[in-house]
Amino acid sequence: MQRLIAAAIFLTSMSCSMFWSMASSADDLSTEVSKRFSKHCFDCHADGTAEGGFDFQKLASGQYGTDTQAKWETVWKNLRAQTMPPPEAEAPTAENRTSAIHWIQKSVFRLDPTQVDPGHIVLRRLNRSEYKETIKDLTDVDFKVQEEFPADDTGYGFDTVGESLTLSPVLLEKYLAAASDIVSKFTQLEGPTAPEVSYWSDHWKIKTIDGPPSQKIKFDHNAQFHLAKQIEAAGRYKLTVAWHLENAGSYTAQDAKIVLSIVDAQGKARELDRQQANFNTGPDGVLSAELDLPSGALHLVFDFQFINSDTKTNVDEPKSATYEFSLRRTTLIGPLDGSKLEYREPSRKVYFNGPPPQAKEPSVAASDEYQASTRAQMKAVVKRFAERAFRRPVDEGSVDRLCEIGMRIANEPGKRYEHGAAAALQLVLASPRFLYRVENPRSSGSTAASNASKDAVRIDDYALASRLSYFLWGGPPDEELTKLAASGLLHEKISEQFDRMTAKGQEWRLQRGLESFVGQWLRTRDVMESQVDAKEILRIRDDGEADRIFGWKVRDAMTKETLQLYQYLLVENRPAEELINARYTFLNEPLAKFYGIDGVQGNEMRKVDLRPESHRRGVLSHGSVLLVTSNPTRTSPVKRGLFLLENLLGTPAPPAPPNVPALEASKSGPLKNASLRQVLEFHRRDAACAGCHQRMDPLGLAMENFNALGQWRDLEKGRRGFRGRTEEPDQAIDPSGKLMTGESFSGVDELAGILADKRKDDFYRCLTEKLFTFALGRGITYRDSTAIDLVVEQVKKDNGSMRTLYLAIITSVPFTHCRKPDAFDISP
Amino acid sequence: MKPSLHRRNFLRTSGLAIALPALPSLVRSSAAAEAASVPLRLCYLYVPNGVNMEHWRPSGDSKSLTLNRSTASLQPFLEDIRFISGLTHQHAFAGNDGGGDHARANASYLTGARAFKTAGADIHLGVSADQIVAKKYNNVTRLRSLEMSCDGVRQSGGCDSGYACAYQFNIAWADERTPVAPESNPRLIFERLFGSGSHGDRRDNFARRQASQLSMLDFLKDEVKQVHRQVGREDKAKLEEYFSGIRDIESRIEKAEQFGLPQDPDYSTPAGIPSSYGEHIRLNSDVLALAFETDTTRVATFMFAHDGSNRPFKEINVGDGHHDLSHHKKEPERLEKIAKIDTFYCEQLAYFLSTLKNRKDANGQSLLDNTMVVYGSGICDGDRHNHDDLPIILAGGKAVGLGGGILHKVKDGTPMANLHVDLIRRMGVEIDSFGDSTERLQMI
Repeated sequence: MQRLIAAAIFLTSMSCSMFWSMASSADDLSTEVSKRFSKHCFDCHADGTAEGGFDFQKLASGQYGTDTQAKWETVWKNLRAQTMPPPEAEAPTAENRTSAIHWIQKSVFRLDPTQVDPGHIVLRRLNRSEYKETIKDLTDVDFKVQEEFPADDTGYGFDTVGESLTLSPVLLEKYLAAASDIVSKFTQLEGPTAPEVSYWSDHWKIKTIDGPPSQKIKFDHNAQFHLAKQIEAAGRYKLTVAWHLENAGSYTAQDAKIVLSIVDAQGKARELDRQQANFNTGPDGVLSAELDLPSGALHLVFDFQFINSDTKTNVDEPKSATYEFSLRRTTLIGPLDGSKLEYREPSRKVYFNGPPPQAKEPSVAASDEYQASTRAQMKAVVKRFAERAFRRPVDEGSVDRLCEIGMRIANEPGKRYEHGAAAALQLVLASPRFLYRVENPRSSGSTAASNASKDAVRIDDYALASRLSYFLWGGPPDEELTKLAASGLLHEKISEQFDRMTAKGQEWRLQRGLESFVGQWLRTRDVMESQVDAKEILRIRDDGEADRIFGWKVRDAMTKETLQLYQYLLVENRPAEELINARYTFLNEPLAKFYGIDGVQGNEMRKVDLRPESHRRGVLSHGSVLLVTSNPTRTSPVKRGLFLLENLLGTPAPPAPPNVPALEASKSGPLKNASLRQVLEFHRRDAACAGCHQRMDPLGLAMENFNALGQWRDLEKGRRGFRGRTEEPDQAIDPSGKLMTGESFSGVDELAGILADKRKDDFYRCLTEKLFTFALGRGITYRDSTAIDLVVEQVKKDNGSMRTLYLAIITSVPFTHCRKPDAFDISP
Repeated sequence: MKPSLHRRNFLRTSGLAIALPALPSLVRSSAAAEAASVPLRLCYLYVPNGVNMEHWRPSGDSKSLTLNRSTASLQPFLEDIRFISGLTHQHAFAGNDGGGDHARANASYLTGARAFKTAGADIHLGVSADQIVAKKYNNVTRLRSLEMSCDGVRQSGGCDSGYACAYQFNIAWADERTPVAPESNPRLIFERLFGSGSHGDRRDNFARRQASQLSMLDFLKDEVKQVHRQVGREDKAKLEEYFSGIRDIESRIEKAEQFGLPQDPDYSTPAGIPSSYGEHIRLNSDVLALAFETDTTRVATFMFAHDGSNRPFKEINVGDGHHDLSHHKKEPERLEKIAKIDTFYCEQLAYFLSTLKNRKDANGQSLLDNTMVVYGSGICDGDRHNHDDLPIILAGGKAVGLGGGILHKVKDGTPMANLHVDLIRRMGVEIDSFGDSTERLQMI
């Protein structure tokens, strides 16, 4: 019921912009429609012939009632995608087509490129990956969202869509539990401890205190490392030096003595601890000592003396192995007398101003003065944390309320300052201001963009900072974005910020954001979990062998291949269509081997130029795409074709009519030994199927030279006979075809070339729409077409430039504006 | 104000200090109105993509039942089950909505309603049968209902033919717009029911968690009110989800006063999602049976998989995806594999029924006698995508006179909602119609 009312309100609010309810008469519309569409469309869609249930004259005279808008949108989409008129009919000239599209946008949809509507974004909850990244940024805690939270519902193909990101009572319960778990992970509830400093192994120097940093040692020579530090406060200290032995799982006779010593001011060494390092000690050990240290220079020496270097003699392990000894973390804790107390990492990150001074007497703790200073200290922590968590300034009142709760708990018997602070921080993480991305309009006085509609107003700089960072980085804004937002200059400096956010040093953040977008758009997120039967696809019998050929390393590299190509295009400002026709890709040895490409060694992914004989070019030949568009045991040309239509060309086929089984499944009867292509052709004879399958099948069939795992094949191997099943013959593969828009190709390589050349405008638009959907977190409607047109025009002008594309999106009206508060609020 | 203080005191004393002596059975602590009668439970199980009817359909009549090949594993429960044939979901058929039979089958299964076609905005369906009953038991059991699935991992991108994923991954709906999302991780389900940690520590942990929740509520209520003032009308509606979550937790904590702490079953907490699918279903079934046995809830839904699931079944040597296979085109090899999958699923049902049957309920009867289990799919034949003649089994419920060992044929085209009406009424909710029902199904 609520929905019906909403729909009714929507229609009422829209009708003023609709052509048919304008003062101009329906006759004018009929005349215009017949002028524009009679020649190419009326044969099938007028004068009582209403193919597909659609008649232009009925549309013009308003006979479709509330469906009128939807019908016009269909006309407009079909014109744009050139799916109408069908290929067998005479096509209109490009100018006529464009003119008709613009006429619909202008006169029917009443869209004005100088009056761009920002649209409304429904309040977005952080999805699982955004939550994880936001928590990590805030606290350094790596929270396992995949295990603890249910999968988010997606809308329009992405998990950033506000309307789909619901919050069930069970999920709220989980958020509350997560808040307390997370806070307990970074809060030292036991209170501060003696100061602790750690040094990684490179602080140890070879031979002398200013030698080169320590390195791994094999058991064939002696070595000595030196560590020199300054001790500020004299006192008792606890010293630990951790070490590690690689390959220690192999039982060989290698053995070494390791000794930790201290050298005093007179240069005299004193041994502190010693151990043996060999198979029996295992891979890890710690040398430790508790000792009194004077203030001033500290000089430690670490001796490694090998006893036996024999890597082969062993009891029952036939393989030889070389042990490698290395130092790990050295930690110095003290002074231990409690004269100085601190928080450790990661506590220090949040409790940045340290522990409150200790109150020796209860009377001191209860004093107003002490209470006030502790409270001030807690307030600083809570305020800073809340502002980062809410991604915008927090009012004093909220911080005070949090501190009140915190101080009350801190003063409870048996509780400490840390208990109180933790309770306050836990509330921050459970607050709707953390869980939702609340966006405010910019303060009055700010001018909207010149092409924004009169109902539009800029979002405030904090909201913009969040939109930018979650879009590009998949995580919360960093300090610089927040600072700019505070100074109110982010809208003006957005282009510099885009450069910074995609520059060197930010690769890991960018990678995180792209994983979210590309991972869902091209579905690389599904590669690791995709359930395939490699044994069946490879036509081999042995599970172990199938795992060796197609193991997790190959899957992992496939995921990275696609992500890295996309990131490269963006960072290096390549033309977007190179995603489709690049003669290079990103590989490591396992994936190169899997693809049958020589000369790539090691697990590191790197850019590799592709030779024509590799048959590979762009994402159409990426294992990731080929795998996720296949069935568990075989390829699916229909799924692959549909994938290209939906995700690269932006012209998804309408869903199959009900009760029509998936085409390729029907290999029975006379079609028993037919190739997939023959089966598909057989079915295309049915007019009901032909319309869409003419568009999908040629695309999918062109990719048939890649099996369901993404390996090249010249023949489709038939299955061998097994338990009474008759053997299937091998099938030749014919990847040639013709697009519905007329272009012919001989195989996937040429298809990639055509898509990236003749159809690149479709691709620009499709990518723009996907990026908008992901970035805005809402479905794209016809009302967004002016904003999208604007972006696509700029990209075309800049020859496909990826950076132009991104910049055009993040400076667009929908990205930087919102509707004026309650501009559409016409509820009674 | 007074009840609220009372609540706090209750938790403080009962919670962290000393665990209360174990109640002999939580059943007895139920509200007085319920105490007289034996608790009755309702549980809906869902299997995707229809079945191979040739090997599934039993023979029999209103007095007898002979199982077919795929359902042979149910033989030990012959007297506890009835097959109902002829039920239909008209709202799962295409109508004017085009493709998307899997989303619709899933959506209409428990709602008898038509899913409004949208990829995201304005989701609209109908309240589900289990949730109608759940509302009644809201104050009777600790949890109003339990929702489970085995779909831990989801495919990225869009769902079935332009339908929002919510339709395809949820069978329980609190109202027209709000799906009740299922949980797939047996560890998390278990911890929610009985507390975290090992046997012996759980009640303390449960109390601690609840005390922690309670301490947060007042502040969070103020928070959400503050945000509510800041945002526009549409976003206010969105925030209502947060509000109702808060209310839900609050009412659960109030209930703790009534029920005391949960029982602590001598069952080790599941470690997580097992790699074997069958094991996953059985582990969730165990937890579900525990939830019923301890009277933690009386209503549950459990999706073995969402409709359209393309899961392969390596453990029974069917490497092909289920959805892919279900478009069998009468090919014998594919039909055979579907029958194998049907058999696999029925074996999981048999396992669940055995866990219920082996447990004694408060009144000495088996738990199965006091539980009505509906098992079925929203599609009949995956190749035809038809939503009539649905494969439906009703098990248990002897305590309310549901006899087994029969094939209950209903008139073709009878809405499945008629069955829901009957079960809802047996659960004590007086309704005359539900979804697209035409009347209450006459049980034989």
